[in-house]
Amino acid sequence: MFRARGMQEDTRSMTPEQGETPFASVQRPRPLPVLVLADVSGSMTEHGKIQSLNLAIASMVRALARERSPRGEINIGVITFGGRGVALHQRPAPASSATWADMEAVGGPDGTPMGDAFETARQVLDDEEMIPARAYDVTLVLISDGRPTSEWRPQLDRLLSSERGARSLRLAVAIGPETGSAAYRVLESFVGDPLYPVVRAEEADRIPEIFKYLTQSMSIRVNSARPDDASVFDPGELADLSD
Amino acid sequence: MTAPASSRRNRRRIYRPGDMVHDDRGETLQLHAEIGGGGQGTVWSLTGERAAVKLLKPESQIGAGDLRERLAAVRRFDLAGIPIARPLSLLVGDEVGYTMELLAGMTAIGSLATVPPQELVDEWFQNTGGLRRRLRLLALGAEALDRLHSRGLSYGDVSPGNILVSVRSEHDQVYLIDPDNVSVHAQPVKAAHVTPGYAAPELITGTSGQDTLTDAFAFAVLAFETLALVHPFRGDAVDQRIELEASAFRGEWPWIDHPTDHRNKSSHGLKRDMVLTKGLRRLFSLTFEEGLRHPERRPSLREWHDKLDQAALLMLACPACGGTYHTALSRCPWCRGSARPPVVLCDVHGLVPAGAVPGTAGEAETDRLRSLILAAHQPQVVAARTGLLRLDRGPSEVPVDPGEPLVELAWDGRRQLMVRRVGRHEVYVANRSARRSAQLVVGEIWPLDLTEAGRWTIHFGRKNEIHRFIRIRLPRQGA
Repeated sequence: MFRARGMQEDTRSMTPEQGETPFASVQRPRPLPVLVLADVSGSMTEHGKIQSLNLAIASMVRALARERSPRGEINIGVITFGGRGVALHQRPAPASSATWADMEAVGGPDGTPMGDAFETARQVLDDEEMIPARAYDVTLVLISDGRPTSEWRPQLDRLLSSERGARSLRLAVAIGPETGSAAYRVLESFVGDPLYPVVRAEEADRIPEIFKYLTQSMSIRVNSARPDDASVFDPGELADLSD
Repeated sequence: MTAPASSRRNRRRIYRPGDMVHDDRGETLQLHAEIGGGGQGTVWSLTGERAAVKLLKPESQIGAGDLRERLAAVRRFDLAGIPIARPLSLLVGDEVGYTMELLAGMTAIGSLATVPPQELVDEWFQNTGGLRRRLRLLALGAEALDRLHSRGLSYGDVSPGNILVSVRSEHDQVYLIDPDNVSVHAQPVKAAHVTPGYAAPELITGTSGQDTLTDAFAFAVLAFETLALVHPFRGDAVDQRIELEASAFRGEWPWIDHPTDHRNKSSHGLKRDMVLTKGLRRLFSLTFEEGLRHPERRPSLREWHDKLDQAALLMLACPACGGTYHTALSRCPWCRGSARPPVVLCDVHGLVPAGAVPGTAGEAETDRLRSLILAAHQPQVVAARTGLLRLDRGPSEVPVDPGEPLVELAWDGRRQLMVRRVGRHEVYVANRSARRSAQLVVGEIWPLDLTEAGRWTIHFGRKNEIHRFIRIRLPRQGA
């Protein structure tokens, strides 16, 4: 979707037939990227968790595709991590042109490779073809039902010290893990800001509500005068979303 | 009083459609949609769309008491004849804000400046009224601000979300919201009060407060963005690195069209010579070059109104694609298929009849004050702001609105030009050399034969008083 060095090429790729018109050099709105890091390990198959997550993300993509704000264009990407390793399930793309394919949760030798997902996220953030330099800061959303089964700390540190990673806004959703548990603390380290609580959902049926909040908030941001102002994610409201 | 932690919870930062607020008239109001806003807060239409509410952000640090005083001051100003929302009531409870009048069917002018996602740029540009409507709406915005300025008031927060325009492209209405910053004082403000990207550098650095010159800067940014579809300080260098924006908005970078300093040049936006007249290009360079650091060099809103209005009057519609463009171009720049149709040029002058000014002998006329263009089968209405010498002296006690129509002109592309009087103001047509003249009554249509010897003139006023008139210049073929 995006080429390196920004929107000039991008405009042409979207409307190639306009290459010569007076409008060829008119810029599209600045991308406002959301990158979801989704746990698809074996345990996500239980209690309808993966189905619920698929439905929630699909409905988020559909809702955000309808946004017509001139201030920004929401781009959505999804990284999955599970038994078969890490995959860039959905390359960051404008919500309007994203076609959502359901994720599949499977157990496997890789367990819950969250660390590798952090590494992939860092690479995506560094890649100007996926996150153009002119994009607003990225919102990262990590959703998991357990603790990493392999090393994660060094990868997280690298992500958080990367240029885009450091500036990103991070939210985390724990499906199941109790507050204070080891798995929960991993998510807290990811968020890295004591102001923002990890949202905790006891059961899978809470997932749609959390994504609805996320969808609404991104919609408010992209329509506001300052899409880079992340204060839409009110710590109090995040706390209210937890069980 | 509540503790800081709980007040953060009570006073929300983010509002959603359907949220309820309460005002001091005891009414419960439901938020409908966010329609605009600037640095201090957001403006929402209320369910029913007849009123709007401004909700101040906690960081604007304006308390309910301050706000009450400010609104009381605004109510004392004479805002008659200016399309600006009057404050109605104050909010009570946890929110700080106020309600104001709203016209239905309005949207932020910013919607004309940036392309919404998923729309084809050319379709969007033309469907929202193209170049002529953008010039007209900006001219009306400048006129409204100029009227405030001429009463010694500044507006304070000119931004894409504070000037509303008609949603429908066949309507051209402009309405200022957010009246609480209207002020006679220039006092330094906190950074939270200004809209980044529009606030003049001296406001951002806090070296000076809002005044008519900061309004002029913000308006120039908005006008450039609306016409060229690129922000004047968001060049390629700044656009690629969002963290450079702040310094560009402080005036530390040259503007994108700076003639000698190319550090911030832009490869984006519509070609300036296509969308800006020479007069407008001069105002932009004055504002963004010398005027960047020397506010007093910035052109006034009166000059902006003058040049924007003149530019709009020189637009004609392409018979092939419907796009509007400047008469000086030899073919339509939008579809590039169609040569410019022939046009009649109508020059507006002032006329001083013999004896109207004591101590002068003969009749005299002024230089050209305005020109307007007539293309075949594209009727034009001449409004009071173009044709009348003075707007404060109508034929009755009723004040004259600048948009009041005087005559409609229609040219058949050959020899006949129809003049129809459509308003309450006196109109007569004359052909001096042919010794013909006629007074028109309301609704009367007078055909002028352009092949007749001599030149026809159309006058707005009485023969023995100073007034303006239009001189018809013979058709020019497209180049």
